[in-house]
Amino acid sequence: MNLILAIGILIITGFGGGLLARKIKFPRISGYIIIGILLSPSLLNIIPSQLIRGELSVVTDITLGIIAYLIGGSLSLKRLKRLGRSILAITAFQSLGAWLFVGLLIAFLGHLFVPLNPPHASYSQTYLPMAIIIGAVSCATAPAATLAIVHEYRASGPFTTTLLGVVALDDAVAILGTSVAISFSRMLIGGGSLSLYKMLLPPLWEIAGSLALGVGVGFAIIHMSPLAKTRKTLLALVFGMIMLCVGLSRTLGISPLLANMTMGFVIVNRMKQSEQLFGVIDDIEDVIFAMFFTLAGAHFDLRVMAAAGVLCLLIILGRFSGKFLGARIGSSLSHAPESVRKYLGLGLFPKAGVTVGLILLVQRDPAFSTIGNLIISAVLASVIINELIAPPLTKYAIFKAGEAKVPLK
Amino acid sequence: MGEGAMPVAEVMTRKVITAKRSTTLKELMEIFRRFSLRTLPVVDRENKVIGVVALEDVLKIFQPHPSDILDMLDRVPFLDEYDDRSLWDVDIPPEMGVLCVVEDLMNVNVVTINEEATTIQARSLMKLHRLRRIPVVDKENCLLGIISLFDIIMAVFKQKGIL
Repeated sequence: MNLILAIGILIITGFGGGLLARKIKFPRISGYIIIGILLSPSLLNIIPSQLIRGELSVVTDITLGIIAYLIGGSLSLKRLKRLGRSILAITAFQSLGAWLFVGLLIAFLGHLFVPLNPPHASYSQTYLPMAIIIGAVSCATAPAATLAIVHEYRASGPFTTTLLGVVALDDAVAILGTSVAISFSRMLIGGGSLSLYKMLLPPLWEIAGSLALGVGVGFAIIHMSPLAKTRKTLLALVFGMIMLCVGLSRTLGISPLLANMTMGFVIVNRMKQSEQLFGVIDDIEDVIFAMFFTLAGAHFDLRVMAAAGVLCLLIILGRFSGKFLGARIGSSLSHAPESVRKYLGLGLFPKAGVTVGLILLVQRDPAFSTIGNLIISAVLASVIINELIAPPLTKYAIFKAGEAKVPLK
Repeated sequence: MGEGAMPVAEVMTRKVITAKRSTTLKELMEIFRRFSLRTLPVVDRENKVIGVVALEDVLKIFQPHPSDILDMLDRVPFLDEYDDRSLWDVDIPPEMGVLCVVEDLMNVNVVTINEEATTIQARSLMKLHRLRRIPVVDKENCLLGIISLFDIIMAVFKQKGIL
């Protein structure tokens, strides 16, 4: 099969899956992922493995650049200041909680239940990076499922406001966390017997370099945007700059995620009329996201499912406990209302888009070739299971908080 | 100046209906209805443009969540679209008409055009930002008039001798 045919199949079948998912009131992304799993070499074997792991990985780079740019663009400092102490504190604690609990569970129990026997690789080159990375990815919460439930039950009040605020911010924390986690895990895998200074230097360079590149490209786009007189030319400029930022990051060995998120952040905070610089992406995002998430599903590997199944359970268990306890601590420290303290943690379990995107980035990194397949299958399985468990829990939390305006269906 | 382009100042409508920060929702809706308008520039005491309020902004009061959070969520990718059920279902007390003012609804990121600009530039801005009317301001950002697609088309027709 050639590359273009594979792309066509991914988009059209993904589009169909998205439509079906919306029919049964699931987010479109779930439809894309399930179609992708069906197309994977493990099941129907329609998209060949060498394409999925080879030429098609350019789709991952492009899409993650766009996702990071858009999420950076949501971080307007003016808005962040008005969000209030509770939302900021709960976001920080529940993200850290998820990271810590998932990380610790995998670090302590992973080697007992998840077999990994790569030659010449120690614990700190396999299970430890796996724990750090999956922990960081677990910070993300999907706003799509949460917003759908809030709409369906016309929920409003302090609980719903806090819930929406946290899910709006959470993905940015996950991107930041995963960029740092990838960088440090690479150091662990390649570190060997190097000194601490030599081990820490590459991650620090990666983070500082990504921030600097993002700031530079961000200011470049601010100065160049007046040259784009139409929406189409503005889209060409924005898309080109995102690609430039991803490509330069790859060349310099720094994080394309962090660089693109910084670019979006600089634009939204330094430019007065920045709305269109993000709005133009709306014109192309559906086709890109359909292709991307269907491709993500196609990475599913049935052969590693026995090991990935246990890992998936550890992820779900760690994430649920970490988010619940983190939200409790954050809301207590910030003196949030009782309904927020008691039930917010239960509303933070949905996950999908950013989680899948971030894990795909890990999978395509040659440094993680030993653990990449296992991680992606486990995370994909956890996303699908989450789609079934998390929405009822969010519903329950909204009803217990007394903020739903229509009776439970 | 490009061929056929005219200075905005020659084409714009000088008599502009504006709103103030303190204009109530009831007054705003009456202006929209009376003049069949969909957007109004908002000016301060010195006639400086401080925002713009559109008919769509009125929908914000049907939204029970803070607009800052909704604006942030709007930027986050992969959200599915939902219908505006709340528009028909929500209970709005009559006192909302006087309690809610333009300052609560307006968009402060307003696109304006300088009086010295041309109609070509005005049209480009309209296409880029998907607008039909743009406030025309001087160097101090004081409102001088408003230019609409209607004004531009009329001016072109006049120039061609059709009108």
